[in-house]
Amino acid sequence: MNSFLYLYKTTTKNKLKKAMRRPVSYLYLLLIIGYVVLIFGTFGGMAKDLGVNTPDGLAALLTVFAFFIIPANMISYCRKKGLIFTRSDVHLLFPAPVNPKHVLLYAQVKQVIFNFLIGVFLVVAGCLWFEVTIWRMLLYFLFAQLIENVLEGSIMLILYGSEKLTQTMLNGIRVVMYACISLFFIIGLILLATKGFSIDSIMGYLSSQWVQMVPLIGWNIAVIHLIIVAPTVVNVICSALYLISAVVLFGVAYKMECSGEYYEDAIKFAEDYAVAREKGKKGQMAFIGKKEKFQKANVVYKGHYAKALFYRQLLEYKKNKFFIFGINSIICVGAVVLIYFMGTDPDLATSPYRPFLIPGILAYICFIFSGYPTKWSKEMNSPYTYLIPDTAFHKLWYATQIEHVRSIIDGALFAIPAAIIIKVTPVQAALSILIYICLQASKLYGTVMMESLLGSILGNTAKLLFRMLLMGVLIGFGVLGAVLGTLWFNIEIGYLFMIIIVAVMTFVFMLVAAGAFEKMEAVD
Amino acid sequence: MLEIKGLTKRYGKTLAVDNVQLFVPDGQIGILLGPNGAGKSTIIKSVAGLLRYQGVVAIQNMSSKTIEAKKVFAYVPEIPAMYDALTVREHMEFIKRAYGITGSEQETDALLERFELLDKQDKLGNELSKGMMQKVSICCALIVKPQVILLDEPMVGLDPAAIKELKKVVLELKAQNVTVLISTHMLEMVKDLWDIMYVMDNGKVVGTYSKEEVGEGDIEELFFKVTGNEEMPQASNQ
Repeated sequence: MNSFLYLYKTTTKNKLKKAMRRPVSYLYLLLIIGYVVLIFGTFGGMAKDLGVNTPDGLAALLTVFAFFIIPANMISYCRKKGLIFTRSDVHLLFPAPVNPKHVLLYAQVKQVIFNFLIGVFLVVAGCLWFEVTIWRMLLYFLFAQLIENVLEGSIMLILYGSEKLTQTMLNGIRVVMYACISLFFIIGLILLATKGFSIDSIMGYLSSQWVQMVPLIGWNIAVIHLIIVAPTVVNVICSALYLISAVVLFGVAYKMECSGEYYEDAIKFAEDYAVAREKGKKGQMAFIGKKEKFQKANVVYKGHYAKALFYRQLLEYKKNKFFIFGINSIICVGAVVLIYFMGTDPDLATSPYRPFLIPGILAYICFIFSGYPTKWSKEMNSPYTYLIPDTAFHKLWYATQIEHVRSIIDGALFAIPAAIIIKVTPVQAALSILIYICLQASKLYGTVMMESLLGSILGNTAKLLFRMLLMGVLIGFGVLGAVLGTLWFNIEIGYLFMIIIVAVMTFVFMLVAAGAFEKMEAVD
Repeated sequence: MLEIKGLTKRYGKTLAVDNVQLFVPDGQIGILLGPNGAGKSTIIKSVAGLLRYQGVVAIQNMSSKTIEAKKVFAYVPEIPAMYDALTVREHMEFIKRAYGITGSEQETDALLERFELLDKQDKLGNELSKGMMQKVSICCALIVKPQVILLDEPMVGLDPAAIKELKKVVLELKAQNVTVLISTHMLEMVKDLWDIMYVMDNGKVVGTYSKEEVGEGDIEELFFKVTGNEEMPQASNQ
């Protein structure tokens, strides 16, 4: 364990030293402090408004967490995916003469530290917002840090490290866990359907004795009720069963033999995790261990040089299961549902703002949803892009052309049904789609421009904030143009003013962004 | 000594290694040759205890999975990976603690100097180039003072000076009665080193040769003769 302690101590010390040298760390620290203050300022009032600012309220909240977190953790341990190992662990730690069970505990420590911080937060929250006495919260803290961690650690060691549990057995445990979560949901729904939706009925369900009788998960909830609320016959018995389980499972985990057969699964997960992390750092969407499946497709290249980028992307999209439809398409369809319900509001028909609803929602989608970099960003990571004998402007245009097609489709997916629902003219609907295309294009070229100018200076969060600021300014000017156009002429001219303003700014972004396709600095 | 008996490894339905037998005595240098996908790395990873397998792997007559066997065993993987927040020297310190070694700082210095890392000792893992990582990886393996050492494509990424140094180190280890197994497809790099050669193809050992048997014969020619593969070790020209 001496080596693990050294590893933790040294990495933490070095990370802190490195963070303290970066001015942005202090900015993040300020943001975190501000966020915590904000939570403490608002959550108490929210709990009071909902009528859950009592020990029962806290117990109900912890019950919900227990019913999802415990089975979810067990499912991931069964799949040997709950613990994060790095490639360096695989290289330096796995072949070393250390007990494989200690290696598992080393990975679990990150979880324990997180639990400790949550525990501290809960002690403060319990006393401040839920009117729980301090001794009860301290007792709960001790229970969570000692008994709960021991039980969780033992379960993790058994499920992850046991070489006697077959895959069939592990699959069985997973099924039981899924069944537990489903049952918890179904019983809740039945109770809500029969007793009606109210805070009282939810609280009644979450503190019901039936819930506390479910092995392990329910027993954990029983201890929570025993400590935070008050003793009952059921929660005392179930708490005793929980303690016995902790002792027995600890004994089993302690005596269990483990020669490190799980290393193979851990290596696979470490590799998938590293790949997902690298993708995440580049701002791409990443799912751990999910491999994309492609279907067969072909494309006829109609042109040379930078045009080849467009046709290659088209080929890749044709191989995709969902072609060019992506998250933005789902968001646009979701927005149609939203506008359908808004359309039922009788005040909307007479509202002077009705024609601005569609472009307003589309602008909101552009502003709020960051949109993951798609195939165009990969072009910037490929050395072949820079070697194509064409101008940087052409490369930028053809690398991003398909994104404009996607904007037309996504915009139409929302604007056409929305126009029918809230009864605006086809011209206004078409202009709304144009606004959406311009806004998405400006976001796209704004991002490339930022990568070109600040890519090596800013981190992902700073880039996101900067892009939101840029979009905010752009939309602000666009809205100003729309308002003035509407006041001076009519709504359609207002729309056109917005389109012209956004298009001009987008073109400026585009000219600056083209520089990114001249320098090969984005390539890893 | 390193002994492998009946090693079989499947990835799902794919048979990666099929009933492999292999023996490298104390103080001998074994080389594992084969084209890409022959199963070399799977064997190395199995010996290092990183994979589940069928069969027996013994290090100094102990099961390779035991802590005692791991104490006398070192492994240099094909692709090194360092802890982002540990410096070069801290990596060495961590390894010494993980292997329970009470080696002096002078030993660490000597190894770092030998692989031209002394001036890089305070660099963090995420600041190292691939070649430097490979050097640190070799230093971490050597600080253990192993009785059996496995090197998976150790020359890849190293500069000429480091390759020369590594060859010298391997011969010194042999002189110290250490068992060495090198997996490679760079035939040119190992032609002066080997005592026993195992040629692999499609997950099987298709040829076993000793230095005495082959004498001064060309191992490249021998390799092609056994595998019937004319394309493989172009890497020897790299």
